[in-house]
Amino acid sequence: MLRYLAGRLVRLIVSLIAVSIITFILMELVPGSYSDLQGTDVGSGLGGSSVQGGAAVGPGGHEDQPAWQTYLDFMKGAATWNMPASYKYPQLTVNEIIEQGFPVSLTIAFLAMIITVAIAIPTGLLAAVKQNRVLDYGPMFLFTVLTALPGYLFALVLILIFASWLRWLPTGGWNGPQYAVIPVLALGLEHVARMARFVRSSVLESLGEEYVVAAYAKGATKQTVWIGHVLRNSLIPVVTVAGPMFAAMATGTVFIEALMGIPGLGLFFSVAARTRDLPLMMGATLFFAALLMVVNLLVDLSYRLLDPRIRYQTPSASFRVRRQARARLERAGLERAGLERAADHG
Amino acid sequence: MTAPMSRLDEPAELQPEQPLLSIRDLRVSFPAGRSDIPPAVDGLNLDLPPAGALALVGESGSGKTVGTRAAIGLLPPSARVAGEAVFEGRDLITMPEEELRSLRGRRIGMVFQNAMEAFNPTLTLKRQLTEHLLWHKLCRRKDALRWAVEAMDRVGIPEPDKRIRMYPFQFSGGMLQRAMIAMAIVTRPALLIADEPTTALDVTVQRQVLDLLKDLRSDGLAILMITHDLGVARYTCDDVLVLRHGRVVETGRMATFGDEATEPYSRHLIESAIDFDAATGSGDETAARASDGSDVASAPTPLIAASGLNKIFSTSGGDVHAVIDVDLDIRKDEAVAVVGQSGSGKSTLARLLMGLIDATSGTVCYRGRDLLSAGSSTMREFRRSVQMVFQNPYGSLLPHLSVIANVAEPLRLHRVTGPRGRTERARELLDLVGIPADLQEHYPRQLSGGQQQRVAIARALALDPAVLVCDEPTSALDVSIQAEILDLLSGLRERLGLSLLFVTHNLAVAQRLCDRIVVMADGLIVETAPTAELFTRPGHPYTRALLSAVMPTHGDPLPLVRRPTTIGRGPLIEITADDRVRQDLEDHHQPTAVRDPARPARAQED
Amino acid sequence: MAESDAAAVLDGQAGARTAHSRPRSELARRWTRFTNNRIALASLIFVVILVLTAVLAPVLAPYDPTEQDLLHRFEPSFADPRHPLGTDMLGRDVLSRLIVSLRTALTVGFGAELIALALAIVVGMTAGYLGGRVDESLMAFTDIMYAFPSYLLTVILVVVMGRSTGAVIMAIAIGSWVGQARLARAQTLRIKNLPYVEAGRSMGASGLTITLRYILPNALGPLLVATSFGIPAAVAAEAGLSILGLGVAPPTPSWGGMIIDGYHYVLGKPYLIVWPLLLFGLTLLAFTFVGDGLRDAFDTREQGR
Repeated sequence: MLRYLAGRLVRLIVSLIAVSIITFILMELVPGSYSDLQGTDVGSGLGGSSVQGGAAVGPGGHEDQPAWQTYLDFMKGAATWNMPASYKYPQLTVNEIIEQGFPVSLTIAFLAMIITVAIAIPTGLLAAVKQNRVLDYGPMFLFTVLTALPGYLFALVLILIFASWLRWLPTGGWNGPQYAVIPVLALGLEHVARMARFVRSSVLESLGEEYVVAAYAKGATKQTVWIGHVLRNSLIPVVTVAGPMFAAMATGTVFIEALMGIPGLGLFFSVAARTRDLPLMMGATLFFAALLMVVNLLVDLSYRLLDPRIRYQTPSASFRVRRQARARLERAGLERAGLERAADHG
Repeated sequence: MTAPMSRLDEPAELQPEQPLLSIRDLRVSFPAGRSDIPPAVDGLNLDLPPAGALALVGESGSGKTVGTRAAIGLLPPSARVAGEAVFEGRDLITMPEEELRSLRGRRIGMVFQNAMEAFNPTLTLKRQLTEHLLWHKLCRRKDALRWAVEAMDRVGIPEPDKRIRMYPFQFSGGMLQRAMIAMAIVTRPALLIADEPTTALDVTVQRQVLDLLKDLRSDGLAILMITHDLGVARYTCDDVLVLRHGRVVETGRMATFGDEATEPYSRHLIESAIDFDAATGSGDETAARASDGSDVASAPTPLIAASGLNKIFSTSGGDVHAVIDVDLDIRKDEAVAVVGQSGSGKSTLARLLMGLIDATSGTVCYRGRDLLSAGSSTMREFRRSVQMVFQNPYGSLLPHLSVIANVAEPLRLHRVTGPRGRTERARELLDLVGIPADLQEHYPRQLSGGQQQRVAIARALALDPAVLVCDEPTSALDVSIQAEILDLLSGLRERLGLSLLFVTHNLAVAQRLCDRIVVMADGLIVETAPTAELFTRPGHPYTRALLSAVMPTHGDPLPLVRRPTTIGRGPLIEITADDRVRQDLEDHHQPTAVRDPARPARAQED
Repeated sequence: MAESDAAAVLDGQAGARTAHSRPRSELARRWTRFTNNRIALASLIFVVILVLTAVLAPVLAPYDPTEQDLLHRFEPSFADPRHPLGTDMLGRDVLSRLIVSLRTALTVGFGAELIALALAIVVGMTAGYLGGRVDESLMAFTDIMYAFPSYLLTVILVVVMGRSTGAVIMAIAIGSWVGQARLARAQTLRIKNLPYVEAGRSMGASGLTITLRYILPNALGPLLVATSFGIPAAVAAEAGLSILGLGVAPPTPSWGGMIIDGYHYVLGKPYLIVWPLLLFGLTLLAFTFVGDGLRDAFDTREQGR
């Protein structure tokens, strides 16, 4: 287990470094430096505040430094959580911006996750139990519809209904619990369908397994079979979907935040993209990528703990087999001579 | 196997002579809102005496599984069940579910074909062998473990107290099958329903499991066995019932069924079953070809010659040494069988000889030329000259081409004649293998398994090959179709002067078709001999164990020879279906003398 | 008994199978299955209509979508017969903008998806078929690409390459080809291990023949499904970029652009958002239902007996 963990961590770090290099190279290719643009918003649309006294520096941060130096400086800063200041908000360092913005995104994602799980699991279960009847087709059709549509579409629909028409909720900003309702709902709706469908297929797959019939053949009640066998086996895979889904949520609030002006990390990232705020873009990219990878790693680890098949296959077994195979090859050569029949030597 | 187990509760009071299970006019259908679907079971009648053994024999689709599951109420709600199934005096069909449930697992046990799938992979055996004891309130919680361990011991699992805490995947196939039997008998049922209990097992392990089942009858257990294999049925059961398309074709006493059966379908099943003839040592077809070795010795260069072949696969579970140091020749007009169980390396060997896989070391020569260093024209000639027929008939045909296009494909690849010539030749070949003209434009999916295999054979013959390599061409087919295909191959061999390399796990088939047999186990060639000699004077203990494990349809099997624990001084490794290698500790466990109640005890060969 | 008689008698056991009197190719079967799904069929028709509209957009749109009429700003829908859906904040005709935006959306959708698919097939099938080192290195490469959150790379690329239609198409394509490459590779691996590929090799077919003539036709199904899901994803990606202010640049109209422009006025004049949102949603749904229908039609579990 420890060896597996070490291996995964190494891969994670290598991937992060690769991501950072690719991102940095792309940044270097960006036409027009920040100073050229003087902080004007190159994109049409929202929140275009101009910068106060923009720092007149080039893409690298230091005009006379070779690019790789800039890169290393930045990476050192990233590793020690001490990154340089953003261009657009020079009074704040990138890590401070992340510290400010990410909790907002995380809150939205967390609440959305709760709603998603609370709806998806019972619905998926019900659909599996009542397979091919109304309670299956109805919700599943709805879910097909939902999976086709992106989160910001739900946000817009919700805004049209609850903000524009009913005037119950605000159209944007972040100043109290009512501001979170639409973002959380929209994000939840985006993902609930996929999870519900997965729960359904996972349960159906478990139901079709021979061990369910075997359990009934032993005299189990429906209840026992469901709780003891079906649920247990079908919910383990759900965990593997839930983890990455949460990570996707936490990193995917960008569009909703940008639309509604919610000060999460996604909003800052989009502003950074529009205004060529390279340190912030770099920092946010690395942060999101690292977040995704760590969550995936945690999910993998927990899956190994939950499924005994994976837990017990130790690397030492394969070593033993290899050794045996080699030994047998030697002995086989000696033994064979006595086994062939005379008639075969043709 | 150990002494019979203690009783947990009193058996139901049965009148003398009253059958344990009596099924009358059982009908099962799955209407699904339509009226045109024929019933799955149409009028099943059977009687099973206490501690009796009845075999339900039929091919796929005969309704044997559906019928038995219907009797104990294990079918989904969409099934319509009518008729009567009286067990220990009470009708199961009309019984309320609660009462029926209390019988399931307690008075009636069930074992399935695939043990690995019948166990929940995430739960220990301890949990799965004790949970129903507690559901049926047969003992106190603290005693349950003891009963379960006793059951594991009864079925011959070594170190049962340790093993019971393991997970299913940690067991080998044969041992897990026994564990499944233990799970069924731990409640001391009166009836055991065994649904193809040994089909998925290695033939040498199969015998041991069947012996276990026979032994359990001495505990008072009745067995209802579902199988497609008449030999297995004959070995284990007293009575037999043949099912076809949901209807009973014939019933009878097992011992005399082979001679006394009168219905055409029963006779067909009996005659299609390929038995080997241990007495004369050569099958019907090869008697005329009795080889004395001298013909072979004076033949010119072998068509295919393998020398020192080794193949090592690296899988996630470690290295698998699939083929170890193999030498093999195939000569003109010769039929060689490579016989072995799953994991023996025979399929890998076939592919090595065809050049489909590269060897780790060793050479394969075609007409004296090494394939590895062969030029492209030699390779082209080789490819035309050596063709293969695969185990999965549907899988080996291109699904998006019609039958005739499939057969013409090799001609197209090698640019033999133009499109019209190809079509004509394809038609000829299809006629040769017995595919009627009106099916030739159809697509593979529309044909039956037997027809698909015929098409595959036609395709293999398209380029006039000298050697036909057949990798278990009949094991995926129903028994009655198997015989047809083998006859076809045999006839084609005569007509076209083909050489055959026939890979199979079935010794009887090998005997029927081939002049020379090579026995493989664990990647090694254990023995090779002309057919007649192999059967009359087997040399290696493994061969003898293999021969003794065969279940003939007529006559009795040979006395059991235990499979040797080592081949070439390394322990015998049982490779499971997904290529993970596990040590089979079961072979180190010495069972006590096997008692067949019907025959006097004999000394075991070793 | 003659061979064919024996075969016929015994294969009669197969029952329904030999009852087929006419040959039916795989393609015919799939098509029948697809058309049995009424929603999928209706969606396909709708998609065809959308494509035709997009192609004929310049002809169908009553006005030039960029033509401003400052005297007639903010006309609500259904008020003026000359502007059936109203006008926006610069007096531009909403209906015309809607139709031309459809053209933009489908251009980006098809363009990005086809490029991504081409990349995916080439890389994925090569990795799957060749295996070994090639496969490992390609997979390592895609793993790194996967490490980027889905939209992130696309955003960065737009920042780098600009906001022309072509650049946006490329950016979306590069951000999404990896997933489809994995699919192509998985399909190749699955089929590569099927007996008929092995049979092909044993008959002497070359790698290229096998890939193009055996594997590709049979992998096409799932790839087609992936494409029909990829197109709406690309369309949605473009709209998302617009929300971030990085979509296809004005004056080219796009639904995302219309929505963003109109968002300022969502409280007072919601119609500016409703129409593009509605058409956007319907387009996505239509393609998705077609994809679902295709997926059912090509269900690989149906293969074999």
